[in-house]
This record gives sequence, structure tokens and C-alpha cells, in this order.
Amino acid sequence: MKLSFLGPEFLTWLYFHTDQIPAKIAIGRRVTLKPLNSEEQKVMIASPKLEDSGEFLQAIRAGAHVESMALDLVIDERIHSFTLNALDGSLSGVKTQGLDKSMGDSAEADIMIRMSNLDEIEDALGKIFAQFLELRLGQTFVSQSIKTIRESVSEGLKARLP
Amino acid sequence: MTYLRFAVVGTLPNNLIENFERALSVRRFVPLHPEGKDSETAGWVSVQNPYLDDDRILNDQFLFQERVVLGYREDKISYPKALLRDLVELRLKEFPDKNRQVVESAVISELRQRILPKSKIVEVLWDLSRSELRLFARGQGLVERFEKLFEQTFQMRIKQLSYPEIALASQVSLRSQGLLENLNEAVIFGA
Repeated sequence: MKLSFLGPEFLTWLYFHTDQIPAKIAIGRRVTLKPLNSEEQKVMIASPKLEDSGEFLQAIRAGAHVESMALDLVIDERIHSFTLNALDGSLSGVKTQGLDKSMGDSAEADIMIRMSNLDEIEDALGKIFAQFLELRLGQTFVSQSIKTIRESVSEGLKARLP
Repeated sequence: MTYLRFAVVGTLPNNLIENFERALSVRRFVPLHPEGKDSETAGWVSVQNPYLDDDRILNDQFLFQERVVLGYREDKISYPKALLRDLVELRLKEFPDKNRQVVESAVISELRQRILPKSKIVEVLWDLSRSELRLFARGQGLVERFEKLFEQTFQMRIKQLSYPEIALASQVSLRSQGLLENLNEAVIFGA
């Protein structure tokens, strides 16, 4: 599909720009990577501290993009955890910590609570993707965003040299 | 909880409740018949009572304000290969003159009375005000079968909201729209 690279580019960009987005997001414990348009196998990295993973940086350095990534989204006091999938836009393993269902709630109340939690996650992700898209279509994406990623990878790998 | 998002494309009917109730009764889930030949069946169920196969799905079970909540149910019956093979061989020893296919068919009919189909129920949340639908599953085959059933039932199309679709549907300026349509991959590091 044309533009199918947008999802992997978005997640890769997000990994390196969590401090510049209109939401509080922390990278979770699991990420998968794969080069675009390639039959190569996926690389899956699971680590309590992904930011310290040299394997992740090496995969990016070798031309891979992020295909799925576990995230924690913080909104006020609530933390929603989920995995964002680049290729089909799906969310998996969603654990919401918003409004809670109480015993005796009607089926309707249960649905409204669930929808409200998912709406909250999707609204936040929608804003982040809109920011990415604006940058992606702008003239400075390569000179700034890609440059930031390249520098982060190079510095991260250098810091791991003995 | 895992789900995919879809945009619903099409116009809602005027007499929505009556129309949807009728459409759902036509495509309601029908269980496999114990004496039938089909091995798979699929259709709509109510989320509250997905196994009450004879009940009609009425609006108080699927319409909550501007949200439609339904279950998509698939049942599939399969026979353990080794068991089928052993029973057929046994029967062929008893009746050596019988044709293998006839024996196999008879054994399958017997097994069908003893084996329950595997049942899968997937929840569907359709927000009518936003024309968006959430399907709580990801498997490609199931999604394709669901898309077909949805379109046959409601006479509306659904379009998966992956990132390219979201980008193309976003409110970017005409100039940006042109840029988007001609966008190429950005190389971070060459492979």
C-alpha cells in the first residue's frame, strides 16, 4: 500500500521524540523492529529499560524501523498501557486506568466507561500523529527530526563502546 | 484488549432502529446443525447473550445512545485427524466392502453429534456520531470475513484506519495533501 511506511516512520520518530510531543508518554518494555519493505526477520527487544538498549540502536543503525512499541500514556492521574502497531494502526494489550466499572453497573454504563477510556487514548495519539504529520510534510523533517534520530543513535552507540 | 479501528462509509437509514433490527435478523448467527454438512458458520449475536441462538437482537440490546454494540460470532467444528483416521480404519475392517468416502462421511456424522464446535465471539463497537467502528480482534482472515458481513448487513463500507488512511483523511491543507500523496520514505540509515 502506498504510504505504508508512515506507521513505522511515526513510531520510530516517536521513540526519539517523547519529550517533544503534546502528551506524557513513556516507552514500555517491548519493541519490535524491521526494515521497511524487507523480508528480513523482525527483531524483538524486551527490556525493563529500553532506553538503555544498545540492541535497539544497532537495529535502527542497520536500517530498521519500529513496527510495534509498548507505551504508557499518562493523562492526569491515569496511566493507560498499550502496544501501538505501526502497520495496521491497531492497539493491543490495552490496559486502561481511567474510569472503573463498579459492581451493578448496567451494560450501557460498562460500554460508556470503556468507550470513554479508549476515546481518551485515541485523542492523545491523534494529536501526536497530527504533530508528526505536520513535521513530516514540512521542509525541516530531514534536517531536524531525522538528524536528531541519527545523532541520538550515534551518541548512544558511542557511549556503549568500551 | 486488542482492537482495530475502521471508518464507516455510507449514509445511515432514516428509520434506523427498524432497519437495523431487520438487517440483523437476516444475518443473525445460525448455529451449525447437528446433522448438517457445513463446518463453519458466522453471524451477529447480542453481546449480552451471545449463546441464546433463538432470540432476536432487538434495539435495547444493541443501541446505546449513538453507539451500536454487537457481537460477531464464528463457530467452527473440526474433527481430530487421528481419531477420524482410526475410526474409519476400524469401520473399514468391520465392513470391508464399503467405500472409504462413504465410511468417512458416516464417521463424521457420528462425531458431529459428540464434538462441540469452537466458538469465537468478537465485540464490535460502532460510534454512529463519529462514523467509526472498533473491532476487538486483529486476525486478517477474521477481519476480512467481518468486513464482508458488515457490508452485507448494513449496506455500508468500512475502511481500516491505518496510519496512511488517517493521514489521507486528516484536515491538512490542499498543498500538504499534494505533498502527502507524493511522499516517499525518509531514509534514517541506509539498510
